[in-house]
Amino acid sequence: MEAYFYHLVVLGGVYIVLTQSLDLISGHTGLMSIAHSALFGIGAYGVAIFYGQMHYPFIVAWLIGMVLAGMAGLMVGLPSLRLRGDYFVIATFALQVLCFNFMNNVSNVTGGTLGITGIPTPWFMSTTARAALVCSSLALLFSFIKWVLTRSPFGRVLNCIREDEDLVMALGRNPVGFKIAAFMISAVMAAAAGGIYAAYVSFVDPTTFTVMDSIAILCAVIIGGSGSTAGPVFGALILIGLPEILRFVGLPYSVASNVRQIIYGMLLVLILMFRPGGVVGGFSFDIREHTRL
Amino acid sequence: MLSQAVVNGLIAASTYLLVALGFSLIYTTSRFFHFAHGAVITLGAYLAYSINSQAGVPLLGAAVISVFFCGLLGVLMNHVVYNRLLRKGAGSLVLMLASFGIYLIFENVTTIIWGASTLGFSPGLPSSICKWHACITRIHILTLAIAAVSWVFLAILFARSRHGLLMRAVAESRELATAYGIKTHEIVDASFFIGSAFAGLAGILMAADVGMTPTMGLHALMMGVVVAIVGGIGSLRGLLLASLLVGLVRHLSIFVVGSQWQDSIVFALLLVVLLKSPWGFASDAAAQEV
Amino acid sequence: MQVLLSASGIFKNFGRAEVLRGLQIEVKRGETIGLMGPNGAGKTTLFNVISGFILPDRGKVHFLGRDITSDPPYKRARSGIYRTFQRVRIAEQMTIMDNLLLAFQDRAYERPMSALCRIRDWLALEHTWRRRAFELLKEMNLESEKGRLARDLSYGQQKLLSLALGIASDAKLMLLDEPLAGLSSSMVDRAINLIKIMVRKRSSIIIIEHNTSFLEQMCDYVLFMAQGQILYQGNLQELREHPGVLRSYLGGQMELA
Repeated sequence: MEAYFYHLVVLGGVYIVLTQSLDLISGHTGLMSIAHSALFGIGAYGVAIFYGQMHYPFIVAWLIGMVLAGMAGLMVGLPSLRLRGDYFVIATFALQVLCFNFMNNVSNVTGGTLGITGIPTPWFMSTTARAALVCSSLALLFSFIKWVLTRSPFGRVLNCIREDEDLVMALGRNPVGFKIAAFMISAVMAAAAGGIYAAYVSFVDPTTFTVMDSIAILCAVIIGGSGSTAGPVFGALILIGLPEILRFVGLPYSVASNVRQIIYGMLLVLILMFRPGGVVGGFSFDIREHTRL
Repeated sequence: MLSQAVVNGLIAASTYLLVALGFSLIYTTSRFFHFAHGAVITLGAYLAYSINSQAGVPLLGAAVISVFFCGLLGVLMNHVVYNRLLRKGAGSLVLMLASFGIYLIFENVTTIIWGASTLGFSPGLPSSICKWHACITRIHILTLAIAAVSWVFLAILFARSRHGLLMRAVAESRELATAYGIKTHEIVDASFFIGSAFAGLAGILMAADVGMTPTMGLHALMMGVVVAIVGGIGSLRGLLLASLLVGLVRHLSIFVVGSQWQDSIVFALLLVVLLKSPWGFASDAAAQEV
Repeated sequence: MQVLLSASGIFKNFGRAEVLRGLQIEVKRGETIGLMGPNGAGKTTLFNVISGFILPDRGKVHFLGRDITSDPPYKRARSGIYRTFQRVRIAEQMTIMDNLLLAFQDRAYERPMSALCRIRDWLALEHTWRRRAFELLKEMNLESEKGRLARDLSYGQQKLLSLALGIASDAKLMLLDEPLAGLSSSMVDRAINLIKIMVRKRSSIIIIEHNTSFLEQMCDYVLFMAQGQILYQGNLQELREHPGVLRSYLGGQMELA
């Protein structure tokens, strides 16, 4: 029972880092990304390859994963961040597909569909209690970083980009640079979560990092409440809580994941309709569109 | 081999064109990316399958009924979700998010009802005609023909008919069209109906060729979206060119890299296009929007 | 007086419609100018060209002696051009205070690294900016509302806020697009008060407005635009008697009717 609780804390911590990273761009900058499970995956594979197989120190492998994710973010960010709203989503979708195909197809690096197993557990995660401590502190640390960022002058510009990009320009800031920076920070944070995740579960395979997972993460953040600190935490709770509840209800494994996604979908639509600020509240999506000049 | 790849590319291009036509028809009148379009593609195939094999209606009849239901489904989505959100002042981003939600619901319901494994219409693979080292089945010929007819249908609809004129007016500006007394809701509904019917048709044709899975719609939709963006949404000629480009690139790329990289190639193409001219082939027309 | 802005030979077409046709304009430092003209004369388009949201097809825009014709809007804002939009544009889901803090052109600590590593510095800096913002809020009678979201303000208050953003930005040239339209009389007074602050700060101002008594009170002279050109430049009295102006106004009204 205790071990189960610690297990949930570990997953919760990892998901909080992930949802906070997504909220930095979706809730605060107004850029929806459906590439976050791929960025999460880059971090996970970074640890699996450089720590699990090449036996670099964990921290080095972890950082490599983050840098790679940041580069992937930049690669997609450069062409697409000049675009507004919906086109950006398509570009992140492209990133998602490219990353997934890389994980799935480059077998000699990523292990292909089989993935990479037997990643040794780093010393600071040797017991579940330790792992829970590490993950909850990381969740706190990254939530704090995001909190500071979004309240700083930097975050104020991000928020204004979400509100009205023309206004940002009229006030003398170049939105492109800020969007690229925000997306890269978000990518790095997502990869940080992924690295910890890989070390904890000790294996990675591509099925964990699909588009559907990306969409589920986005759903969770919006359901929880975008543009706030508590919202993404709540979103992470949904992400780990819902599967557990469904298992508790006794749904067979084969149906449970479908039912879970149906619930995500329904909650998302209902939240958008009736409580656009999300459960916990925050930025709400009901603003009117600003037509281009 | 090369001729076969070209043929395959052309056939893929026709299904992408069908999907992209529906997708961008809906986009032009309602101005958001309707991702639940993918769910309609899948459902079109499965409905036809059930009507055919369980209710015993001949395949052709089942297809017609299914396509009609797909059209209705699109209208229903518009009414139950999008219109309500619009009334609350939702912008295109919110509508798109909602369409993700709808997609998630439909794909998973499909999986629960019909299962995740591949299903196919009986009687299995139809006979094929071979010439110049390339084989083409009757389904393939039908697909090519239907895509061509659909494209011409839309071209005539937009250029000639009063209905097309109204659609263009709504596409220009929904508010202005309403102000001029055009029944915008009916126009948008019509575009959802026609667009979704195209989607269902595409789904049935694909399923008749290679069978159906619950995720077929998402994949087909993504190819359609790439076509729509590369071609420039709203430009019929752009869509035709882009569908040929995407279909051929996808199937000719297997000579350069393995077939497992087909999707990557297409999406890399998309990123390049976004980098070079964000509004696709028809960038001039889009840039004129003020 | 020093020339602040000069634009010459500006042409802009939208499709087949010629909106600006060889327009010339020169603004000296500290001048307040009224910009009048019938609907569709190209007034807002002129603002868009000056502030960089639309690039002209032909012609040059100079600001402080520098060619800014191809500068993007944010660079022009940095060099000191602020514009309001006809439909009020403020960051609706940000507080009024945050709106003002964004308008101050102090862009230190806006990099993510300095936001994280020099928290103390930016907090201290922000403290001083907050005080200045508070002064401005007092001018608007909004000091009690500083923590509210901008979208919760009334339309008039939002319009005042968009003017205050200009004052906060310390811009040398203010382009005000119908600052009084749709305001109640008490709000009009407050808006005029804010515009007077701009005048006192020696900012040059171009105001698109139809309210002639207001223009008479505020402006050094008025420009009359019709069909993409400046038709007349001078005081309002003479403007009323100018035959071409009369014709284009009547023509404009007939188009409307």
